[in-house]
Amino acid sequence: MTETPLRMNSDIAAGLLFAALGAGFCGQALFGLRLGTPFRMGPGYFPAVIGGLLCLLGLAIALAGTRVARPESSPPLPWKAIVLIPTGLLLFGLVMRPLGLIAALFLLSLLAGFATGQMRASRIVLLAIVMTAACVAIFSFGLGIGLPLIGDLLR
Amino acid sequence: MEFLSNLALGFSVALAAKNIFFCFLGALAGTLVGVLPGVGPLATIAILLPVTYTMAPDSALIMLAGIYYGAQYGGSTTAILLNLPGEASSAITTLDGYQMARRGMAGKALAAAGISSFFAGTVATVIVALFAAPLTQVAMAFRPPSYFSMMVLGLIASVVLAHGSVPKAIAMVLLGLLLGLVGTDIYTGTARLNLGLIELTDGVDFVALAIGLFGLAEILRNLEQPENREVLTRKVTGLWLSWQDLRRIAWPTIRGTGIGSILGILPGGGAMLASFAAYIVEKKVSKNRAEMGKGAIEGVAAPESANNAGSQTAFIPMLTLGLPSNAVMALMIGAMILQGIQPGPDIIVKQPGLFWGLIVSMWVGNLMLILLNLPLIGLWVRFLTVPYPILVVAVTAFSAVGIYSASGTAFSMLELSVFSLLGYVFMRLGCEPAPLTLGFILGPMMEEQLRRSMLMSRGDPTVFVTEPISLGFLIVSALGLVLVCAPAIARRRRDAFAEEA
Repeated sequence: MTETPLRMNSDIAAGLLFAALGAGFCGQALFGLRLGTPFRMGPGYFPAVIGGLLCLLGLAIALAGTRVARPESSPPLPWKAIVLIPTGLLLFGLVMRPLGLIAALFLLSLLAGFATGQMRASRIVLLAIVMTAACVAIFSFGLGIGLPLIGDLLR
Repeated sequence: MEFLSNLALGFSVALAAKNIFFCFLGALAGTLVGVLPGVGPLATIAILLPVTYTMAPDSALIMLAGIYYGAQYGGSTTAILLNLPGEASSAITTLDGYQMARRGMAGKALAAAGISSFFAGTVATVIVALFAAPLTQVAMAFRPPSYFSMMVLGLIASVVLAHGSVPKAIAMVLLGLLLGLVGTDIYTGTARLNLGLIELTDGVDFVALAIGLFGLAEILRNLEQPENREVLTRKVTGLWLSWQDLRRIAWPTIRGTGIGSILGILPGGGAMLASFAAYIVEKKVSKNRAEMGKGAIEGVAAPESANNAGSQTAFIPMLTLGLPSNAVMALMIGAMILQGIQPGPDIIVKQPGLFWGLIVSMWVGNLMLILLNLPLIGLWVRFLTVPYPILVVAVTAFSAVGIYSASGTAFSMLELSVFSLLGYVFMRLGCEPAPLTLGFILGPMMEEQLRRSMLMSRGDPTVFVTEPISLGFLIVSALGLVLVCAPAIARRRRDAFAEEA
């Protein structure tokens, strides 16, 4: 019998991810919450059971994954977007209060534009300006949401 | 005639000037976003959900329903013109629809899709109106154990009928249940599973979860490779059907409507399964079956009528039992909860105007789509050619403003980022996000029914098998799981989904 080296594949990765998440929830419930009895269940009972099930199922998926030695080719990770889009969203949330909606939208659009990696910088800036204007028109003037256009810091 | 007076009440709500306006706006916005490539109905509804926050509940739900039909219609437009299904349920339409477009008959294909959808929508509306009230009576008789087992059945069915790996889908359901439990325990008021974060006391932000998993995760996936999109037809002409065409699509449409109406009610089924089944049936029984797959008009009419009928009858379990049969319905229930309405059999009694108004607005929405979309098709075609970078920026900006305006906290942006990345990771690992959404909605409800059942039975778990209705649900769930795990059927299921893809 020849031993095939154990390769990471999507089943193993998904299984381990599920197991970790399940263990996390189960642990929080077991150690932080009152379990109660089946008759009078406490806040921790149901989460502990479901978390435990998820952990076991995750391990089973990972274990089954070690038996399939299928080579997988997946497309390259879009690193730019993975970093820039969440950064843009967090930035949006952080600058909203001090700088206001206009600045927050402009920064987010700018980062999202660079995240695509398919446009020249000058066009991205232009697009960000247009998108900011469009969103302000739709949300602030059209739907009348109460977010301040200019933040506390700039007034 | 109680039925007629109910419908009259529905019409009075749905035809109120503001609701007609919101129905129109929803259908328009839904189509507009739905034709954008890579943005399916789920993402469309999720992105536009925050827009309805400030509205009255009936207007909000009517608009969301309009968005849903509009997005689906937009999906069939991209299927026919671009060979790109906006979502799984119009995947089968690409087979004949795109072939028709290649032969210069795009207008005819779009008209057939529109007309057969409208017919199906009309029939399905009547079905929903007829069956919703009696089913509510049945549901009222359910005791907590039956409710719990029914939700088990719903979740199992969503797993059985999902794409891809069954164990992974079950795992996604469990994870969804857990995420739904985060926040505060309703019985004791204890904060739980919140990682010590005060911001999570009210639970995970459902809109951030939905937009992250369906909207932004999809954007990340589409950015993996430079896009490859070919718009076949820049000018669509001949948007009419001859008498002969109408006769050709008559029976396929009727059959599709029947199949779609039945399959739509099943948990987990909904529109996708319906369109697939209708196409298969047509391939067996149609007089023109030899032409199917090469641009037969029947191949457009049957699945389009089926998916429209299915997407409407899916409202039956949602409105009467509070049970979402697919991810779109989970979003609708989420929207209801955000509006302060607890879904379930009580709605028809407590909010008859909302209940019947929503049902009638389904038909009004379908009518609007056909009046709106056929004349505006030139506009939609132009939207098909929107460059992808612009789309990325627009979707990101819209999502951010929508969520922030509702929550008012920077923390919701963190949640959105986390779910976008998590959703993308799950997509890479071959895990569908739809079952997670169902679990998320059902998590708190299941726990509540479980705890009630156990209080009722004094901690005796056999209550779930001694109560007949509950036992019935559990047997069907078990059968479903056994069937899907049986090797022969698992193989056929895989082939079926492969053919569809």
